Amino acid sequence: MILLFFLISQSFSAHLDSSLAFIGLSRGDLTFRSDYVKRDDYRFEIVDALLENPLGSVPFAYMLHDDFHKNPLVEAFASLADLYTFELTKPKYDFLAALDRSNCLLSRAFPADSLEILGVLEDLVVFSPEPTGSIAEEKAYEKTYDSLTNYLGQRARHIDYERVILAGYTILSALEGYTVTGLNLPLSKIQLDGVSGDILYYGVYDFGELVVGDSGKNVYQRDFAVIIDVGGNDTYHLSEQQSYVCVIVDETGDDSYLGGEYDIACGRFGVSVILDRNGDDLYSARNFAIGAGAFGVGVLIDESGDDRYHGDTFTQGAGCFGIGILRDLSGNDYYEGALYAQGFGATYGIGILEDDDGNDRYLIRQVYLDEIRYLDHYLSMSQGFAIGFRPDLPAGIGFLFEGGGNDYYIGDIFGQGAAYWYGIGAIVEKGGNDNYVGYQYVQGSGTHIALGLLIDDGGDDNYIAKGVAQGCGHDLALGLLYDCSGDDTYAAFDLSQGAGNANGIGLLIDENGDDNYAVKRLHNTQGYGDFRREYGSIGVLVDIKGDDAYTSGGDAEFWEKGTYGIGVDWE
Amino acid sequence: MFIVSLVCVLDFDILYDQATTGLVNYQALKDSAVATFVALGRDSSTGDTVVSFLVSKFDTKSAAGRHTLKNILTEIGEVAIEEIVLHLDNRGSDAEARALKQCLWVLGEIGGEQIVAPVARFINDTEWSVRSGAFTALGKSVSRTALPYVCEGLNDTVAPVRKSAYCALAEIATEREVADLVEGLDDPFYGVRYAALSGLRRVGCGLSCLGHLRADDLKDYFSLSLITASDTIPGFDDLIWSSPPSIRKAIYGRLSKEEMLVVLKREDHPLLIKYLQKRIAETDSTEQ
Repeated sequence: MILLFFLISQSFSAHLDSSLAFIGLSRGDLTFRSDYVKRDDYRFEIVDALLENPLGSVPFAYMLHDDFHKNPLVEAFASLADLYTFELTKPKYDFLAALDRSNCLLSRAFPADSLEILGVLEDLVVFSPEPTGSIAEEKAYEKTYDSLTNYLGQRARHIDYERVILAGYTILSALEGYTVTGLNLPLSKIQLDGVSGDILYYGVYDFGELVVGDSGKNVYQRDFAVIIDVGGNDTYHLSEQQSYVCVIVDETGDDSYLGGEYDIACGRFGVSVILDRNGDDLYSARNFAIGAGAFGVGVLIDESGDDRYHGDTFTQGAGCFGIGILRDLSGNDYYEGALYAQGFGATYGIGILEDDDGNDRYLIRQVYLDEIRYLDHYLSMSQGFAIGFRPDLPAGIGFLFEGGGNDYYIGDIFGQGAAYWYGIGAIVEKGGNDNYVGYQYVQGSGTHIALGLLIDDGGDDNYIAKGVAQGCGHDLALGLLYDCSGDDTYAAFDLSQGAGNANGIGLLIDENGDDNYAVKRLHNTQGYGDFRREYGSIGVLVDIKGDDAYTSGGDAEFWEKGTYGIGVDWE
Repeated sequence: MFIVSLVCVLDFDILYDQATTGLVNYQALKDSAVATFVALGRDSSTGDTVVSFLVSKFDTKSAAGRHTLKNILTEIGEVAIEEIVLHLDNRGSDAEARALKQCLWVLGEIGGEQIVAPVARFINDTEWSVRSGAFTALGKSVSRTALPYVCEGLNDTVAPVRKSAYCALAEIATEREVADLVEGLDDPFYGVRYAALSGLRRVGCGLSCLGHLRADDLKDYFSLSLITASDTIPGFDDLIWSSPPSIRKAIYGRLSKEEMLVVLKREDHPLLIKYLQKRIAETDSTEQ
């Protein structure tokens, strides 16, 4: 972590130091404890380390981004295994042997009665769109929630996660050098029940059925452990994963992957991987799907094409007690979900959405009312977001990595680089003119002992939110918005733009460009800290260069608000 | 008589559920339930029963519930203290000691001399968060009898505990505790430094109380934030111009208009020039 501390840019560090000095603080003051509540087995060590050194979150996010962006997925996956403190040695199996090995590992990873905890997780995660009907109903759910989280915490520890993750690693390693001809299968055209169109091979192995589809259009009406399709515009009707391993490799064509729950690269007590190399593809499911890991590893890799991803809850790079990855390497893509989506991590889970290129749209539909706060706003909890089951189970790690292009992010409550309860959620955006639209707890927002970051490296960006946003830390949490360059617009109503609340730390750092900072409430924005627990919170807005405009303060000056907030426009 | 009959028909559990609902749709019902608890808690015929019921909920895992309980009992006030103190030995159902921490929090919010002795029992607790809660409560007693206990926390190894102890000291210190407060000005935790500064200002300690300034940026920032109009500092001019911008800002924050006009002529840091100009303009508008 000491190394991480020094990986922040010189300009960032120097100007932050000088800004803090104006209010009698130093970078060493930017720290939390990791033991506000007792530590449990499910909290990631990196979260503890980053709570003690919150600024380390920035280089940590960059490093993880680079692991994905610059390396083969298998190496990035090993970095995630490191976060679990599992040391993986790269296996040297060919494709079929890797499937057998993974199947063997997974067959010994889960207790016999594991299915029960899946139901418990589902009860905790999948909401009804109907509002709670009465206080009695609310209180009954609170009791249920308490017993469910306790039960989940106790039972989930019986799973051997190291075996699960090693199984995922083994399959991803084998996919690296995979070619269909390299499998040396005796290929000849045949017909098979459950598949329309010609297939070239069918066989039954220890890991399950394997089928090879030909270059024409195929419709797969049922599940196989492994489907290899060499071309054509294909349709996959997928259902809940039954075998320990599930792999689909589709070489070309505009394909449709249609599912419901626990399918389309959902690792559910197993490992599920889809690799689609070409074409404009459609992925459509509901919950626990499209690069989702629930007590397993789910990985969806789409290498090219303009793709559409449709889901509802726990989708598009979502992990809880496991790893979920959605990796899209190019194309103008459309992502749509409703809750816990698009780079989401819950307890002992890591969810990554990586999109390396293209002009992409990320939409979270308004489905699940945030009835604790509003009658007309909806929970998003997505787009680089992590949450735990407070107070008993901590959050995980949820990251959204964006490579370039002009992108849109639309959400409502919680998301866009945010976290809640002992976890870390982040967006790392490497370029393009991007638009971020959210309402509350968004855009670099940490809530209740957590770390939320939004890092945007370039482009003329727009950030629009109501509050607890744009670099706001609430209740011993870090919220950080770091924008490196471009002429940006920040618009918010209150408690935003470098705001510390309830002893949180809120930082908004903008290094370059001519920026506009607009707010409605002047007293608790743009470098503001409030007073709780008999001491202040830290809120800092630092703009390093450019001709900038503010609702309060001005270009090339500094101002103080609350205890202990400061805004500094350096030039 | 009306209150007694009300208690007979009220189901406290239902009322509690209403008072602690998180559903924004039921805000009016929540406010009403909170008000009912406060009224019943203040009434001599029902107070003990109501407070005892509320204290029985202290172990709740709901943070929002704990806030509501604190608000209700703070409103009920001193009459709740005796019943809460009776429950101090119940730490709660698990290692988090929620019930005990809640007792300390609420006692502190109510405040007063009578909380000092029962709360002081916990200043050496093994849990730092319990110690912190105890020191915070002692400070809010605003009682000099808490002083010997508070001083025990000033060197705690855990920063939030020191912060609570210094905040407490800041509330009850007199000139006799200036040395203790000065020690806090260069604590590694900013919560301690600001608490010490607050205490020194409350006591009326100017820069002259501090003796010589050290070549320590952090401490100087807070020390120089204590400058008052009556302070005369030998070598003041040298001190200003040998100090980094952050220290100069701390000094400028305490200068009179005339002094600011003098330093403005020599100041070359663009941000500090604007700062001085703004402060001078503010002084002008105040004078008008």
